[in-house]
Amino acid sequence: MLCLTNMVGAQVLVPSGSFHSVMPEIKGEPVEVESFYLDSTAVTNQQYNEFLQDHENWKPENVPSIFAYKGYLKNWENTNADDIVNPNQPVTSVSWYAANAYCQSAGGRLPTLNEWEYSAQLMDFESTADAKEFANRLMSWYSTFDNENMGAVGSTGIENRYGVKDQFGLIMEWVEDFKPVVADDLSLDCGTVGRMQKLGNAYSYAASIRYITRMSFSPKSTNSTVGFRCAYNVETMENKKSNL
Amino acid sequence: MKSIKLTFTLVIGLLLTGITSLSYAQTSEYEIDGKTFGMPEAEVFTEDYDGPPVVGDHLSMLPNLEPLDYKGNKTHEVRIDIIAQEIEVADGVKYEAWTFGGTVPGPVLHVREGDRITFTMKNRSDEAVTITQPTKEGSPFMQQVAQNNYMKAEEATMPMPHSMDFHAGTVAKDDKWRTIAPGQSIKFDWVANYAGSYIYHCGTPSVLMHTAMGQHGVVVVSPKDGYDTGYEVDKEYVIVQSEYYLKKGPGDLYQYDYEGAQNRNPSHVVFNGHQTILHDQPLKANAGDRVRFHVSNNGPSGTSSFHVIGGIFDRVWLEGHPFNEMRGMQTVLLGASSSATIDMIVPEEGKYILIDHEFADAEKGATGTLKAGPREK
Amino acid sequence: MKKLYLIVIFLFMAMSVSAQHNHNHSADNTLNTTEVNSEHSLYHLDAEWTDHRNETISLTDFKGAPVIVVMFYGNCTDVCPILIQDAWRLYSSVDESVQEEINVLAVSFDTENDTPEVLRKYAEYEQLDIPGWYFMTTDDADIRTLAMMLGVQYSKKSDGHFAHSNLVTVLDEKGRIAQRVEGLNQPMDDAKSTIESIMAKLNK
Repeated sequence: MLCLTNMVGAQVLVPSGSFHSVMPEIKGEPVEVESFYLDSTAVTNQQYNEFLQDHENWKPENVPSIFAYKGYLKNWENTNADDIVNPNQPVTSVSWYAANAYCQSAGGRLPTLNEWEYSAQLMDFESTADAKEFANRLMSWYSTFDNENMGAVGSTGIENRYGVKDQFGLIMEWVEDFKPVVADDLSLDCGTVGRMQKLGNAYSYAASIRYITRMSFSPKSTNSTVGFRCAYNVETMENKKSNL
Repeated sequence: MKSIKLTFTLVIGLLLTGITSLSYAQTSEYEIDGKTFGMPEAEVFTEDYDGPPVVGDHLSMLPNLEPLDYKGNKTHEVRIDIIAQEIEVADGVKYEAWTFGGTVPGPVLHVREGDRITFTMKNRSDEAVTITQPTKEGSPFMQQVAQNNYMKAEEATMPMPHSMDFHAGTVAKDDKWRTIAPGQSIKFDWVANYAGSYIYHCGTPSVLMHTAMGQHGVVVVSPKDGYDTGYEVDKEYVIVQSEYYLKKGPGDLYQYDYEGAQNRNPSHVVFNGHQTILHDQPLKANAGDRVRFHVSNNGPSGTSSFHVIGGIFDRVWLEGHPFNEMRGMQTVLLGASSSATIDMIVPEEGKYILIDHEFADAEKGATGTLKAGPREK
Repeated sequence: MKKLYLIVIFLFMAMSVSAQHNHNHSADNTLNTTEVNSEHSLYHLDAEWTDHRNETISLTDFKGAPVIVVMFYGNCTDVCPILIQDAWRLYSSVDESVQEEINVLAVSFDTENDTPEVLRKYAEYEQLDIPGWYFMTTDDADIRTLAMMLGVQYSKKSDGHFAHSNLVTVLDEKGRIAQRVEGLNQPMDDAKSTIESIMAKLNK
């Protein structure tokens, strides 16, 4: 279960605010997000394995195929409790259904797309040149991926101002509504990226690649570069804290 | 007498009804000007397929063109899967490419005008697929790559959504050119209604990025009545020009240069996917040969002023269509996704250089060699 | 003689018209549904639902006979009533003996407003507080999971309303997707036949 004192597994409060989304509900208007708690790091192999010990129906040999493609946990050699390879790397090759079930079992839920994107852009840079350089790095990162050398959670050095780590540079992450209905108007044609980005803004260009990639998934997808982290409602967390 | 006439009419009537309802009950295909339109809806599904990523009798590796060893039209069963591969594009320059079939550009598909193609494609970008094991199944492409792995292709994974856009196909893009997630497959029919050389490429946004990362190739649709030249062609080659936008990554491999792509500033402009391949493995001909080049500029963004140093193009069919015949051209201007079928008489023994005469491109690699031997006849 | 000719010609025309393939291009709908798997049972979703009668139910309670499923929300005044009507149209099109066996599940994605009490009022207002009909709710994560399995997209807007796809689904006796009718005011003939043929198979 949740262990608030453990660094991996710590949740941080992301206070309410607004941001300019590349896919706003109303064009030109910022999207409002209410306060919520978010895992400071993505769910690790170790944490996911603990979940599997308590929920054997989610083990690869037991999971019904309506909930995951065949590649579910394909890079895991086994699901023995003591024998986890790369315990501190983010768990990947998990379907949306699996991620959703994990977060439910942890007393939370998957973050919504807007919550995730809002948190991701709450970063501080020393200068606009630094911000630009970061955005360019993002584009390169979306073009290539070093599956062999995926780092441990917390290893990218990328952190938002509240301590949420690795929303870039490590894995793509599931969100509750990864296929936003407002996206149906986009016919995903070649002009899509141009319409989504603000002119010349590399961050929003990278965001559009991220949105388009995420929107193409099926809830059963088990990609080796997709993992997740959980979000929690403020009331749930406050109750938990007061009960400790 | 009357009863026989009655029965006869009844039988004919019922037969007619049967035949008509049968033809209407098929798909909503129809013909205009001898071209077939109205293809059935594409199927998106998941399959367990782990066989060769390129399957089909008329798929070859550049610069080869697989001969059409049949008369009239036929239906081709073609599979070209999407895989990531680590490839070399210039001396010491390797990157993890997004590919059709494992090479950049992808395999050359050769069909005849009017042929139908039943096409299947699996997005295997999350699977490590090797293309250098020669296999009895598969296609001539796979055999040729196994024998001549000039891109030094090695397996890689980079799961991304992808799609296919065959310029040679005339279909609704929201149905057939649909984006599929890693692990999904798509299957649909299309008919090669027009002759010419047509690019195929991934249409998932950012198309600039997907094409620059390597997802493009060519379909050569040979005209059903040929080019009406009155002569035989001695050699036939396929040449594809394209750009790379790469910059050095943190390790040994190169990465996508987003800024370079936005600014139309390629790091390499190449023929057949590799900066030096057409010099390392020059095209061959003999003096007096009529050589046919199917040249396509796959972009993603550049234009090509295609010329062969030492030669003049005797006949040029713009976009490869027999109706668009030009004579005596020195240079053919090809916009992004444009093509031409070019016949040239090789004048004498010696070296000829294929080149994009926009020298900023040539100096980034858009050159190749044709080595001509002595006259044979 | 002439009469016979006329009959033949009439037959010919009738057959050609009826055999025309009605090609419903999914591209026409602005809010698409997503690709689904019809080989596996939705009843793998192990959640506790509360219906408008305030009873706790589970999806497996409906095993054994076809089920009609529709997703909506209470404050939806223009589109959802049509969708519920469509589900009703399908339900009432089958024989009474079949009607007795099948169930209709109307699931709301508005957990904030559509409590069991509100759902009861809605059911009464629609005159659908009848045996076999269940207006239901549970927590957000499970509603989203059901929607994913059905291929229904929905998204809450800032004004509290939802953008959503319109879908009526028929599940077979094992909870597998047997028929999907996308859009509003759609013909239910195929769905009706599907329900009846499942029942016929079960009654053998």
